[in-house]
Amino acid sequence: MNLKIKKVAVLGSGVMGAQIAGHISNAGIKCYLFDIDQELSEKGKKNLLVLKPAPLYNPKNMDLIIPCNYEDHITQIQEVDWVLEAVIEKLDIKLLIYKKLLPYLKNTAIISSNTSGIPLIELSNPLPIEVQKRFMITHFFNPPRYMQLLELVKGENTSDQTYKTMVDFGETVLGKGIVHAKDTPNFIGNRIGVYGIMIAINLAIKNELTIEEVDKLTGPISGRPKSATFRTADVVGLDTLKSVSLTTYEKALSDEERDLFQIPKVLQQLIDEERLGQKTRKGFYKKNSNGEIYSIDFKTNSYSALKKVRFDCFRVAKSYQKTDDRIKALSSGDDKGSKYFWEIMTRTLIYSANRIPEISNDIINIDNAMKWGFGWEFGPFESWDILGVRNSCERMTAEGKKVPKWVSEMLSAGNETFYKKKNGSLFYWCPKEKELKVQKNNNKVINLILYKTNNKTIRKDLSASLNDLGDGILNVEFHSILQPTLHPIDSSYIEIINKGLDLIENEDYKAMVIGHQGANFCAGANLNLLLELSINNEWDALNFAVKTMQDLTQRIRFSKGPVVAAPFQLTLGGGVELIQPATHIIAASETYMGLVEIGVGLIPGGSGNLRMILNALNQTSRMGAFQKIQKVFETIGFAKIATSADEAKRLGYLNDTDTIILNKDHLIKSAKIKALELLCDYEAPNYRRDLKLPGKGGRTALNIALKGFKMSGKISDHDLKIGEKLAYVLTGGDKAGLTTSVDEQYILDLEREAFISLAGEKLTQDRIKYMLKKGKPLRN
Amino acid sequence: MVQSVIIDAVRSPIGIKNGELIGIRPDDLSSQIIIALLKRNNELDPKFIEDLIFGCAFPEGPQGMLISKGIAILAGLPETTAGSVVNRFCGSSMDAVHQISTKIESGDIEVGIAGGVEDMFSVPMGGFNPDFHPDLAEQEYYIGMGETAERLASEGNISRNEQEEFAIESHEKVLKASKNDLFKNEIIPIDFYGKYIVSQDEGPRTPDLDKIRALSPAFIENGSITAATSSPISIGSSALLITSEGFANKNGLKIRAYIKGRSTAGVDWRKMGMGPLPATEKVLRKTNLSMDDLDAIELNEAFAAQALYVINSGSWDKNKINKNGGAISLGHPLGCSGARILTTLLNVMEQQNSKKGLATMCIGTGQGIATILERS
Repeated sequence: MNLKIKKVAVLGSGVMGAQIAGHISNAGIKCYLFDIDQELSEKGKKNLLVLKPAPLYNPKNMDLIIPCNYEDHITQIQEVDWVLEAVIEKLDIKLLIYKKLLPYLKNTAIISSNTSGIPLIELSNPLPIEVQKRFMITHFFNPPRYMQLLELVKGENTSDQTYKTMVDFGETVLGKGIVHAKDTPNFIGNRIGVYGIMIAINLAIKNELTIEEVDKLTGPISGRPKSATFRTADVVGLDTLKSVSLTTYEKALSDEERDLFQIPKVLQQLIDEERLGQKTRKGFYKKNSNGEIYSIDFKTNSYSALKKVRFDCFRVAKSYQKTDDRIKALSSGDDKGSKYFWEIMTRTLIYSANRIPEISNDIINIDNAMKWGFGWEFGPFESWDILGVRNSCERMTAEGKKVPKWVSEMLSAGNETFYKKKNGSLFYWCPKEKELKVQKNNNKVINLILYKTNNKTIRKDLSASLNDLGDGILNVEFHSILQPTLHPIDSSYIEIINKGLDLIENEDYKAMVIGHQGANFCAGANLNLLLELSINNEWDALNFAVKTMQDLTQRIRFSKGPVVAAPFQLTLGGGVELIQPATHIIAASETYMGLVEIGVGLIPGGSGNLRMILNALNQTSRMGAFQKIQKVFETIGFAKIATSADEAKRLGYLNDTDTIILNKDHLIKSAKIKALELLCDYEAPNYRRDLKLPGKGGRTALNIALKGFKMSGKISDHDLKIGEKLAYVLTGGDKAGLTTSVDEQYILDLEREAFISLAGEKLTQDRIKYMLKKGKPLRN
Repeated sequence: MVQSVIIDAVRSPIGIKNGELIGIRPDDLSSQIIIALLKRNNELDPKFIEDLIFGCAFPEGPQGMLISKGIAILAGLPETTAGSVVNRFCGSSMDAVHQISTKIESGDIEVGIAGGVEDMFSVPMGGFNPDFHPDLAEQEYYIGMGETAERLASEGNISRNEQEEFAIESHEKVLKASKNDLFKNEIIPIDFYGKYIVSQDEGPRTPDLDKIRALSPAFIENGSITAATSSPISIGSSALLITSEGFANKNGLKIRAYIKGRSTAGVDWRKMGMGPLPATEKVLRKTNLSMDDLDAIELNEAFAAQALYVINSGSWDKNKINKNGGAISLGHPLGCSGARILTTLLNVMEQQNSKKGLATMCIGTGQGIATILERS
């Protein structure tokens, strides 16, 4: 049975320790944060309010973190179920601290180290055997709130119960992606990740590519984070990069690529000159006072303005929407960029394959570590599948590269790919047993991609599908063909949701889950269509489109069976309007929600105003109707985007009763369970005719506030105009007032009218055009 | 004719944002100063107190339900003490003093307490449920206070620099007065629900010139008024014990000052900050006095620009004004301020042994109010 972790002690209040304590508080768990003196632990805690990106979902979580020092508070250790040590990477200091706390450690408490450089065995051996059973490594990545990866390492004597407790706690309570690592230098993520950076640097120097050229090729175009290679190094810190790299060099003595982990002259010189990256404001890159970005020249190590990157392979790759097609395009060109890309890619693939069984017995943990810890869209073996294993191996062999033996064995056994998805399961090649094995089922996860391989799709449209989740529960899944990461709304979303609601209406199904497993839930409406209709003065068509969306949201609200929505990451504009009418929302803690229509010169048109009014009026707080509406007015008016699901509740995008979970991979399963729970005696909500809104008198007050904003230069004339329209809708137009009530449809009609009239404004159209072109709002 | 006299006057410390007074109920705050006022004057049997009139600019929420009667009960006044709430925005509690004074002089009552309270943190300016008349809005009746002060600044040619100097001086005067214990006789330490005692004003601070000069205009783009030259949002309560001269003499109560004159006046609400000018003119005319006869003046500092406009336009003597600083430093808890500046005036007059003093203030909606005190 697993141990229940109710209280935690984190030792070491440096950037990592404090942030881990912060994330534990995000999970609602009390945490003692220790350091050698009180001032340090207090400082570490306070820093949580300063660090960017914010380590806490809610500044209030600070209340759960108690700063402590070893001298005065060591007895608090008696209370905790888990001690996480994140002190300086020095063996003797770590051991000294363990010794200090051992007398107070509960005999069930788990103790773990966040070390990345010291072997587990050296930390564990001096401990009593009883404690060794409860000792392991839990390696978080910085910043721990945002990086999904948690590497766990089990020692020889670590008990199964200890290990399993941390697996479940890490996955479910802290929301992390668990990678099972071995006690080898830098485990998995940093071993391969740093290899990737070092090979990129070395080959860039050798092949004479500029920093910006490398980052262009190793960024989003190839499914890597925006920070690509050199920006990532700057963010991590070049001194840190050096020390992690040297750990591999010094400890992985039989690594065939060991020499690559030595520090190149260029890097050493930057470090010597305190050009350490972000923390000293210059590294591979530097931002000048005028905001211009410069990069270093490898030959001179001095900064110069960024040069435009022009690669044919990049141009071709960009013409594809999907990353796998882009990766194929990048590696099959014959220009300098393509040759470089192929070289670093294939060497990383070979390096990764050669690490089996050294750092992992299987390919899944390696792929997961790179996806969760380094933000790669595809792990090395998934990438290899994309390139085509047989073809690429042939090309590698022809180039004189040594393809790992087990990969050739796989091919000769007739397996063309590392992975196979069929019958609802994931099969993967096991180099040790030389056969395909099936991935163990995680009962908290429904992986839609795998799930659908079992013929579970009832209906598939271009950008959305209807899946059968079993037990009478439907799933509406988005998979936009327009923008496969942002998933903007198009007509197929509406058609598929309506179809699902039909099925519930006919009692073919009982309930619905709206959710998917792409990069973002939904970034809003289809602006292209909106702009086209507006510019061509097709007001009837626009009215019809807006009305259709409004009707759909009301249909969701009053559906015969419950609808559970499961948002995550970016959920904006129309995306918010699609989920708000649901019976219940299960949101990932990392959900960035906002009604941001003001940015494109509009107000919400698909029932967002009605939903915000209902959420606000339903809230039990001391605020009166005016104050509640004023808060909604400010939230929509300033296009506030919640920086966490917790903040989305505080802003009124979500209701207090909605659920927040930390692991986004659990969303679909949790939503299904919730839908089943809601089914029991389900009744749709009542249509509201009793909405008491401030009316003209309250609106006059809001308009005066707006004029104040205008006068103080906070908003433009066009903002003022939009603001007045927003105030008109939210205060209930001409009908509402202190002695009258209005109904839902009345608000929808006001909203639609305001939306369409704004769409006809030239300045609004300019904002939409700018957004479509530049991806950011125009202030006009 | 019956003459109304001030027996005593007290106030709470004034709390500001992030301060320790936030969270105390305005009625609890006020009852503490009433209890202290009575304790200081224990020769007076509370049964003689006939009325408790309190000023409050937004008498709703925790300040609603006729807060003065609630305060009377919390302070342990007998049930025979009546209560009323008066609203004249910033002039509310000075108006309460006028009302008690008038009632005494008309012979309706002999003893009363006048005061005021405002917790600008628990009740927002504008109240919880503003409902504005569109026609009045058209006529700018609801104009922002900052904007009215900007008008005065530009009409009176008052530079940002002058305003900042005025504000800095306000802080320096308060700090000096506080250091020399000049507020000791007026401030009642407040017990925050048994957790701690607050006995100091929270607004005053040593001015940070670089910070003050770096602030952006608070109300109008390219305007001259900033947060540093406006009175901060605050919480506070103040009260005066007032009787007829005859009652005081008969009961052995020491008279601290005579209430010699009272006035109110209306002005253009878009320039409400000039209110003290006509109000002062009126009260001087009625009392047959001139500015030269006054030894001390308390001019409420809603905004540095507004106070400077009054001083410059009326050619007032700066040396007589706000000797112990003002609202720019202390804060301006709307309903409390009138009684607060009268309390401070009384102490300043005693400290410099003045004969005659004036307290005056501007009022949102375009008014001024003034009171003249005299010591024998």
